Amino acid sequence: MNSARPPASPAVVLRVVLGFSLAPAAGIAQTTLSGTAAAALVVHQVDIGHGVEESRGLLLRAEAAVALSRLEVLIRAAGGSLSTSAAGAENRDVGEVSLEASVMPAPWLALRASGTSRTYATAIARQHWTLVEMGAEVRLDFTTSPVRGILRGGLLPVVSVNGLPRPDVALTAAAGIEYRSGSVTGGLLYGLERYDFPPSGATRRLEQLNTVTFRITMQRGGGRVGRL
Amino acid sequence: MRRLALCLALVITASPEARAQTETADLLGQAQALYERLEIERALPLLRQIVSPSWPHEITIEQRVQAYTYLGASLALTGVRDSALLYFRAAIEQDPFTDLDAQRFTPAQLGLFQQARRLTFAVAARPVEAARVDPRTERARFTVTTTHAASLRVELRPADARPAIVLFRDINDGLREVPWNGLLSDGHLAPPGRYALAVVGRSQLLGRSDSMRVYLTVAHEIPPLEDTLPALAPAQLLPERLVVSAGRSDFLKGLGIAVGALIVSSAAANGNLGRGGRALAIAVGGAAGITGVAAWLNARRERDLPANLEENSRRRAAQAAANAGIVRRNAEKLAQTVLVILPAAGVGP
Repeated sequence: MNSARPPASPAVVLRVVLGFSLAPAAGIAQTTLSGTAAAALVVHQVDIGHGVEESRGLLLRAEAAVALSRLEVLIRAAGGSLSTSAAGAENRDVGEVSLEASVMPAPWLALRASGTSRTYATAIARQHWTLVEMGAEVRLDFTTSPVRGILRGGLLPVVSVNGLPRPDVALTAAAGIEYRSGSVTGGLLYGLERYDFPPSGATRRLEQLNTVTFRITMQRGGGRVGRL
Repeated sequence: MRRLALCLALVITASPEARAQTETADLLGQAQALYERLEIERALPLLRQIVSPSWPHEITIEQRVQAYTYLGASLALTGVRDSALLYFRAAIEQDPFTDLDAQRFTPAQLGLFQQARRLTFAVAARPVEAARVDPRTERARFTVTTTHAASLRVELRPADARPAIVLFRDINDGLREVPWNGLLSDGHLAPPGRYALAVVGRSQLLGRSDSMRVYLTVAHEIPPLEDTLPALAPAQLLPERLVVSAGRSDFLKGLGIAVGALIVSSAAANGNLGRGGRALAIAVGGAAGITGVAAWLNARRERDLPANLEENSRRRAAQAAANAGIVRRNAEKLAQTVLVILPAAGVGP
C-alpha cells in the first residue's frame, strides 16, 4: 500500500498562505503604508574561467510597501552603475524592478516570495535576469531599544538569464539591523546573492553579488514595516 | 383512457381521511347547491346529516361551521327562528370568527345571526402567520375577535419570567387587528424565544369571560457580527522596565546578527570568488555587534522605559479604538435586527 502523502498542490499552498495573511492578527489589524529610499554599495564578482572579475558601484533604490494584518507587499525599483578596473571588462549599468510579498505566521518570522527582473547593460550588450526567490526572514526585536535584527535566507528556484543555463546553486542570504524612531526607520544590511552555473566544457561561470544597503523608511499607520 | 386510469389510481390510492373529508365536502356541496336553489326542505336533511353525531365520515371544523351556518340560514328562511339561533350560536361557538356575508344572506338572516352573536360570548385569535418583521419600519399583526362588545385584553407573554407585553386593553366588538412593534414593555427588542399570545375578554352583555392562547416563536435575524480583538498578549507589548537580563538578551541578538553577517559572507559565499564582500559583512556585523554591546551596557542599571510605556499606551489605545469601532459596527448591525415570527405548538417543546 502506498501511504506516501501526495505533495501539496499549488492551490493548497496558496490557500495556506492566504489563510495566514488574511487571518486577523492577534493585535490590531491596521494598514500601514511606507516609502523607502536606499543606497546600496555593490560588489559584483564573476568568474567565467579566466579569473575573478570584480566590479563595484552604487545602486539607488526606491520602494513602496503596504502592510495589511499579516501580509506585506512591496514594489521596488533600483538602478546604478558598476565600474571595473579589470582588463578587458566593461563598466555596466544595472536596473531592476521587484515585487515582493511576505506573510508573518509569527511576529518574529516572515515567509517571503519575490520576483525580480534585472538588466545589466554595457555599451555593446544587454543581459536580462529573471529571478524568483522564496525564503524566510527572522526578525529579532531588541528589548531595550527600538532596534530590530534581521537574518534572511532564500533560494531562487527560478533563475533565467539570457544565454546561460539555469544555475546549480542559486541562493540569497542577508543579515542586518534597523533602528526605528517614530515613523522613521533606518537600516543597514549586508546581503549576498550567489549563482553557480553548471560547467560548460572546461569552464564554469560563478557569479556573486555582495551588497551593503543603507536605507531610510518613512511609514504611515500603526504597524511596523520592517524591510531591509 | 389513460386519463381515466390515472383518475382511478388517484381515487384508489387516496388516503382514507381525504376520502372521508371528500364525502363530507360532497354532501355539503349538494346541500349548498340546494340552498342556493331555495330547495330548503331538501337541503335541511343533508345538513343535519352532516352535523349528526352518527355521521360516519371525518368532518373538519370549517365544514362543521359551514353546515351549522347553512342550517341556521335555512331555518331562518323557513321561519324557525329559535332553531336558527341555536345553529348560528353553534357555528359561532365553534369558530368565533364566523360571520355572514351581507351580500349573500337576507336582512332577517343577518339579524338573527347578530342576535346569536349577542347571546354567545367567545374570544379568539387567529393562528399566527409566519412573518419577517423589521421593527424599525414594520409591525407584526395579530387578529383577534370577540363575538360582541367586551372588555378585551391582548397580551404577549414570554415563556420565561419576563413581564407580559400588553398589546390591547379596551372595549372591543368584533374583529380587531392588533399590531406589535417587536418591543418588550421596557422598550427593548423582544428576545428570541417562545411567546404566548393571550386573549382574555369579559362580555359586557352576559357578564361572562373567555380566553384563548396561541403560541409563537420569535427569532432574530442579524447580520454576522465581528469579534472584538482579544486583550494584547504580553508578547505584543514592549517591556516597560529595563532589566539586566534584557540587556544580555539584546547583546546576544546583536552578536547573533554580527555572526550571521560573517557566516553569510563566508559559508554562504563562493570561496572561489575571493573575499570581496567580506569587508561589507564586517561593517554590518560590527554595527550589529556594537548595537548589542550598547544595549547590554545600557541595561546594566535597571529603570523604567518611558518610550516603551508610551508605545504600549499607543498600542492599547489603538486596540481600544479598534474594539470601539467593532462595538459600534456591531451595534449598527444589531439595530438592523429583523424579527422572524413563526407559529409554535406551545411554550416549549
